[in-house]
Amino acid sequence: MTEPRGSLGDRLRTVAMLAPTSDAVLASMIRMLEPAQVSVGPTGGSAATRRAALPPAPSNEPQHNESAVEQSPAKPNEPDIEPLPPAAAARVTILPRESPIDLDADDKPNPLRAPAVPVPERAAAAVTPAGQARATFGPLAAMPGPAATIDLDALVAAIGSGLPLTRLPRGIEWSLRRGAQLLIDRGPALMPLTDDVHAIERQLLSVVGPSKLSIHYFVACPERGTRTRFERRPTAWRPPPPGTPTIVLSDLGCAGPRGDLDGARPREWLRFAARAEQAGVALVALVPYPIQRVWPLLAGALTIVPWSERLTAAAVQRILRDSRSRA
Amino acid sequence: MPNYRKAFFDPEGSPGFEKVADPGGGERLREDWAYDAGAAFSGAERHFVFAEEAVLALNIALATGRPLLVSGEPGGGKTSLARFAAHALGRVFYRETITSRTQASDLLSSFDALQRLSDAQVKEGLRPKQAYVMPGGLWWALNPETAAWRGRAPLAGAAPLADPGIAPRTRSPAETGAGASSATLLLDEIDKADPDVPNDLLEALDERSFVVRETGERIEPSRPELLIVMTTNGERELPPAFMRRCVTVQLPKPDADGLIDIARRRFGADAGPFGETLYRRLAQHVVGLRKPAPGRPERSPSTSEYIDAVSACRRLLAENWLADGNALDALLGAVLTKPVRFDAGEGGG
Repeated sequence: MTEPRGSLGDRLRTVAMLAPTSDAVLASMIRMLEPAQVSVGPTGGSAATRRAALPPAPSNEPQHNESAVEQSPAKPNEPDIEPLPPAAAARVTILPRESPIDLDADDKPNPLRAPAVPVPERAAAAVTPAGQARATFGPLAAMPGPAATIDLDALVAAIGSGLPLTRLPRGIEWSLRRGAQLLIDRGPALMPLTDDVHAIERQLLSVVGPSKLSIHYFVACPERGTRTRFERRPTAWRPPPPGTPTIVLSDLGCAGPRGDLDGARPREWLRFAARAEQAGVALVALVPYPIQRVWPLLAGALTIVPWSERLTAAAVQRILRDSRSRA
Repeated sequence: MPNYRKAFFDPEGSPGFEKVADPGGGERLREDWAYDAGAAFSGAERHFVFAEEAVLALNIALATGRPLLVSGEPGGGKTSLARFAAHALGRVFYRETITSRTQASDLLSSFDALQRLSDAQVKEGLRPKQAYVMPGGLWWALNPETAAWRGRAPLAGAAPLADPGIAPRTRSPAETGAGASSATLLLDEIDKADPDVPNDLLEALDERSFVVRETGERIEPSRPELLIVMTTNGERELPPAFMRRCVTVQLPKPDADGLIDIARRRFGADAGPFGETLYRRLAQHVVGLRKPAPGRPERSPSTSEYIDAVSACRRLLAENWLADGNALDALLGAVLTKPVRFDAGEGGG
């Protein structure tokens, strides 16, 4: 389904009232009324390079890199070009972008750099369509908290039973305000899925927000150390504040090259899960395989969401609900 | 010949506006407008430059009656755009700053259930439900009369609430052709809210009316014109349904000449002991910092940080505080090249 474009009525009204006499202004008017092609990222361009009132094309990159956007000034979108439908847009390969810090600058081997294995050319087919990212990934990072509204049922029950009220019962609301930690496996098992991993990273960034999503990378298991994109060397994983959702993007050691002795074993993951639990962290693993492929030991100990192109918001909700009810 | 009819917001010939000379970009028609709000705004903060894109977007928003969503770098003048546009249009200005805890209902009305519960414990203390309703920013902007009384009918035995709107003080509505009955509502940093909030506002933004849940009263607009301006720093992607209802504009970053022009208007032609050189050198420094380089923070300095740098240099250089280059470096580091992360220093406290 194609994303509906700006209302025709709005366009007609604008043109009738403002009577543009130049093509550039007319194109700008239409673009300002065109929702599907607007980037809300903090980009912008210098006045010398900007085009006539042109919002830049949406960047396919994570929006936390202003300088990268500035390097390539946004090109104007032609108003007569139909935007890609969301499903097709989601399938546009998101090429892995180099970290702003050149990881190869140092000649010494980097323990977090995956071995150079050929990456099969593959479109990001297992990525949630852009329009569904919020519904699919939002629940992974949402945590319950006291709502502004009063829980009237609880209040009536308390007053009705004649008990003194010591605390005003509040409703529960799920919110992203706590932010989240995202742990991304850079091991060989996920190398063929690099495009998908980048796309999911980008979608989580757009849902949670760059300032609230703390991204760390690891190889095999976070127990062996994690690093941010600003760090060259891994350090011991530091759990986020208690109650912060932590999303792990990994195969949990169930895939990877045959005979890979460096792959994580279930015991290692269990140790990590225990540390996360001890720290009060809500752990969810996004695994690019069916649940049957995951070590049974881990399937019972972790909340696992198998992601594929068939992953739906309802499926995520169901998995989380089941997991919480078990807990 | 003008490129379009600025039917609603026309800086040309309007008091307070002055066309900014094309700094020489030469790429296209440039028609930025500097606005001096006069005594209504304090000191140096009375100046604002409306980029051509912003003027066009304001006209489109007013022509279509759609909210205007302004994006751009933090410190790039998004909030000021709404404030100065309200002033230039002679409209009452309302502002709501959105936080991660803001709910859509907060912008419409809230209900003090706790006060009502407390009053209910006192004999004859309970007042009509209307007395516990608190109007939000959108209510004030749509219909200040009912907002003042928390409902359609005046509340017996109670005083009306004070209107939080900021009226344009120095310019009469007649000057701009728009009565004080018109208003501008700024919803600042809409992207800070949880993703559901923009969607929850759709009906109120579309209909320009809403129902107060506790009293069941529908609030209809009494103001014939309401311009809603929303800003976003791009923290989160906004829902497509919400975006479809907005006119969008991204504020451009001023180039070096644009920054110098802003500094001149703000601080005057007298730049202190170093003259115009200060404006120029700092502007070139800021533009240079926008270019990516190894070891340079990804975040480039904003217009407001440039103004801070000029302001600090003007004051401190005059007092010879910055006689040595190290101090100047420290100053520029503090106001321009701020670190993305802070390392825990030794012996911190």
